[in-house]
Order: sequence, then C-alpha cells, then structure tokens
Amino acid sequence: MRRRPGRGLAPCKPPILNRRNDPGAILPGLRTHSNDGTGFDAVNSVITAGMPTHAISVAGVEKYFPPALSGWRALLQPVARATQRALAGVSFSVSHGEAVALVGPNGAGKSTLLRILATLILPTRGQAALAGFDVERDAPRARQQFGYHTGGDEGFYSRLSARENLEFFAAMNNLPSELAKERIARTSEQMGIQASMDRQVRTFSTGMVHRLGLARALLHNPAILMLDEPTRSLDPLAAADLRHLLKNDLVRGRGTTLLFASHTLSEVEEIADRVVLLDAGRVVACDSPRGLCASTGTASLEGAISRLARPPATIEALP
Amino acid sequence: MNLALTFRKIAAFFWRDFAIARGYRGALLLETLEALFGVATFYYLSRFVQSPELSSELPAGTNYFAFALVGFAFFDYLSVALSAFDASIEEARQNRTLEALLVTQTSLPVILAGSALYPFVALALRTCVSRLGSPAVRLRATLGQLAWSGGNSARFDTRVYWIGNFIGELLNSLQAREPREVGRAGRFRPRWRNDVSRDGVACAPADAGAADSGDLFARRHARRASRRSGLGPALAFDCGTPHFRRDFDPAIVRRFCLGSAPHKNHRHSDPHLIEQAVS
Repeated sequence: MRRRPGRGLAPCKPPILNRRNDPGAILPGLRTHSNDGTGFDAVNSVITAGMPTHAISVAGVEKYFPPALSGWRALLQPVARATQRALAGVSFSVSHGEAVALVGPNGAGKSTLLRILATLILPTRGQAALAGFDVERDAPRARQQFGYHTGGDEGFYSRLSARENLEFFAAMNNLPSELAKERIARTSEQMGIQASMDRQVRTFSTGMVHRLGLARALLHNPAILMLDEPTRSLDPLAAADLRHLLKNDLVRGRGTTLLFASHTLSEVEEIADRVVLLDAGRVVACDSPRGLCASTGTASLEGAISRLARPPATIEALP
Repeated sequence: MNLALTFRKIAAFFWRDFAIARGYRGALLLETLEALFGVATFYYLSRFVQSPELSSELPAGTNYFAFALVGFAFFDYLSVALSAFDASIEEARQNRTLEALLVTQTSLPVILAGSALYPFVALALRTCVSRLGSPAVRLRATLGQLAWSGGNSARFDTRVYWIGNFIGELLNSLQAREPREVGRAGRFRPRWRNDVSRDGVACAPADAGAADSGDLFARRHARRASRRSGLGPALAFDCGTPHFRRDFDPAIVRRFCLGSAPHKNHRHSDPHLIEQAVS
C-alpha cells in the first residue's frame, strides 16, 4: 500500500504493508519472480495456508492488459505483451461480516479487482483468496463462496421469465429444485419483484432487471457478496431499500461479507465499515469513513476522497 | 464430479434453449414446415437427375433421394458440430450472459456441452421430420403425376416451392428480429432479381451462357425468356433452383438453362441460342 507522508492514515486491517509491493514480504512462502511484465508469474504454493482467515484476502495483486491495437496490428492482439497496468500491487483484506467499499475515480481498477475476485480474469501477479480459497488455483471452490453482480451487466435471457432465469441460475449453482423455489420466492420478495416473476425479462425496466440481478447474486446464499455499483439504475426509494437490505439484513443479520464498488459516497458512508480508496491501480487509503475524514481533516467523505485521490490519471504503461 | 448433478445442469441448459425457441412460436412452426418443404426440394432434384448411370453408381436397393437425404443430414450434423460450441459461447457473450454463467458453480466444459446440446437435438428432430416427410412428398408426387395429365402439375409444383421459400424467408425474418437470441438467422441470403441459383443445376450452364453471350444479365433474361416463350407451364420454376419435370425435352431444358433468347433480333442474342430458339 502506498502511503502518503504526513497524512497519518490508518492502515488496512490487517496491516499488509509491503516493500515495493512484494507479496513475498507479507506472506512467508509466497515468492514472485522478476517483474518483467510478461503477464505471467509463477507463485509459490500454499498461499492460503499462510494467510489469515479472512473472508477476502488480496495480497500484492497486479494486473496488466495488452494494449488496445487497431488496424492490422489488431492481428497481433492475441500474442501482444501485456503492458497496460490496471492494478499495481493491491493489498488489503476483509474480515467476515464486514462491509467494505471500493472507491476511486474512473479507471482506478475497482471493477478489474472485482473481476479478479470473481474468478473472471486472472491476476498477473499476486494472490487473492475468498474464504481461504485461491481465486486462481481453487476457483471452483472460491465460486461457491460469493455472489457477484455488476450494475451495468444484466446477463439475463430476455425471452425467459424472471422465474425461469432464476431457476436456471439456481441449477447452475447446484441448488436442488425445491430449495431453489424457496430461495427464489424469498429473494424476489426481498427485491420487490415477486409480482413480476412470470413476466419475460425483456418487458422489465432497467431497475427491475437490476433487482433481478441482485436476486440472482443472493440466490445461493453466499457468504461473500461482491457488487459493482449496486444502486445504479435504481430509483431513490429502491436504492434506500437496497441499502437497508445490504446493511441490516445481509451484513448485520446474516453476517455476509460485502465488498462493493460505488461512486455514490452517501451510500458508501451508510453501508461501508471501511473504504478502500483506489487510484491508478494502487491503494491510496484504507480506513473507515470517519477515519478518512479525521485523517484528512475534512468534514465529509467527499472532501476526504478528493483530497486523497489524484486527478484522474491514465493507466500507466510500463517502460 | 457428481454425474447426476452434471446431467441436471445439462438438462437445464436444454430447457433454457428450448424455452427460448418456444418464445418464438411462429419461427418454431415455420422451421418444422421448412424441413418438410426442404425434403420436397431434394425429392424433385432426385427426379431431375435420375438416370440409369446414376442408379448403377448408387448402392443396391437405394435411390438418389435416400442418398441425398443421408448426405444432407450428415453435412448438417457436421456443420452443427463445427459451429455449435463456438456459436453458443459467442451468443452468450453477445447476450452478456457469459460472465453470469462463468461465476456460477458450473465448470466450463459443462457450460460448453450444455449450450451445444440444443442445436444437436433440434437438428435430430428436423432430420426426423424430414424422414417422416418423405412419404408425404412421394404421395404428393403421385398426385402431381395425376394432375400432370390435366396440365396443371407444373403450377402446382411452383406453388409448393414458392410456399417453401416463403416459409424459409419468413422464418429468417422472424429470427432476424432478435438476432442476439437466435443468432443463426440468415440461412439463405435474400434473392436478387437476376438470381437463378448458386447451388442448383442451373448455375453452371447459366454462368456459361453469360460468358458466351456477353450477357451480363443472362440469369434474369433466362427467367423472362422462359415466361415469354411459354415455358412457364412446363417448368416448375421459382427464384431459386429451377426444377424440371421428368421426361422433358432436353432441348427445352438446355434453352432454359442457357437463357433462351426470345427471338433472333434480341440485343443480347447468342448464335447458339438463336439456333436453339429457331429450331
């Protein structure tokens, strides 16, 4: 974690401080090869054994993408060297039953980090684990732990009804049909879409599709919930209901671990126990909302973040 | 891996695809009808190319119709086998459901197998419909032969093919409305006015006629000429493959394929065609 001198920020919990973002400095047995930017790095085994038992552990995660090529150079895309840095040694952890918000400007790496944790993309370097299961080496077991929903990506079959969609995804999550029906009834009621469950999804409004996506993420009762902009497209009342659901029912009631990315700072203040501020792929700060305000001497989270975050910067390229 | 769980997931994929296909009720019905009309095309093609030489080349106890049906079924399966897996992934990517699937507790091989199942089953059903449809086609052919004596057989044939093509085009139009879900629309491209057929028996002679006569629109002229010269009743003709009745005068067939000129002063007339027209 990069710390700015004189800011006096509280460290992430547990304090994963490293020298030059080397995960080997944090965890015994974790060694990385040279930082050659090839997009591949062999990491020593038994990572999770050395990690504390957190719901989410991220240690020195780096991610490089190949540069976007156009014209005839696009033919070289599959073999292009990954040089565009999206994450630069991100390290933090989230305890069980904790709600943590990922905050930062556009292009900071929030969604990339969530996609790595959701086992959709592989980290170039570093380790990430969900409930002790490495997202790269033990992805099938890691997938059992979380529910994932992105606000902008509905991913439903528009010709099927909402119920048929949820039944399909329940089957994909190994839920027996009876249990699936029960869960579908419960989550659809929680999301306020129980009256529309037999309508085709193509007739749904954007907000309703979004609620359906949240219902799908909660269907298998995950211990960890990862959301990318959870209240996007929701009307203010629905957003307030959702915040209540996330904080009171899921995090406090069931002990669900919540990691969400958001640009709505009022929502972050209401839901999050801690805030991880990302900027240009690095963790700039990691503290409670009040802690951030106190450390920066500002009255609001917005002021604290605008003071901490740099102006929007493009992703740095390796030399 | 729990085998029962895997089969349950694959079944869920099948029901998902079936439910989506069921959502397009008209398209589902038309696809079935299209299979029936497709088999009629093969049947008349087989009658056209039927000859003792061909019969001697085919295995004993079979005919060209059966041979063509098996051949087309084989190539259909081959084509589905080559395209089903990547098409299913491409479709899921376009629908933006791929990520939603990948974060579930289902492995990629199961996702691939499950997504590709429905195209195979649908093809199997279509092949069954074709096989069941072949006796009907034979019966209709008998009726056509009876009608032949009344002089209306060709028109009847024409209507059969027009209906078949219409159904095919309608099906494509319906599916093309939401290409993301079906993604297999456009089996045939829309036909142009001067098209005969690219895969039919008239293709090579029509091309040859165009080259010989210098007529850039030999195909269109062939259609016009056939109408003007009164070949319409004699030829079962549609915008696609022309179909000829058996026991027809080869000269007429040749004239039609080459694009017969209406008279000797036609501006694109070819010496060979003039000779044919005069004779």
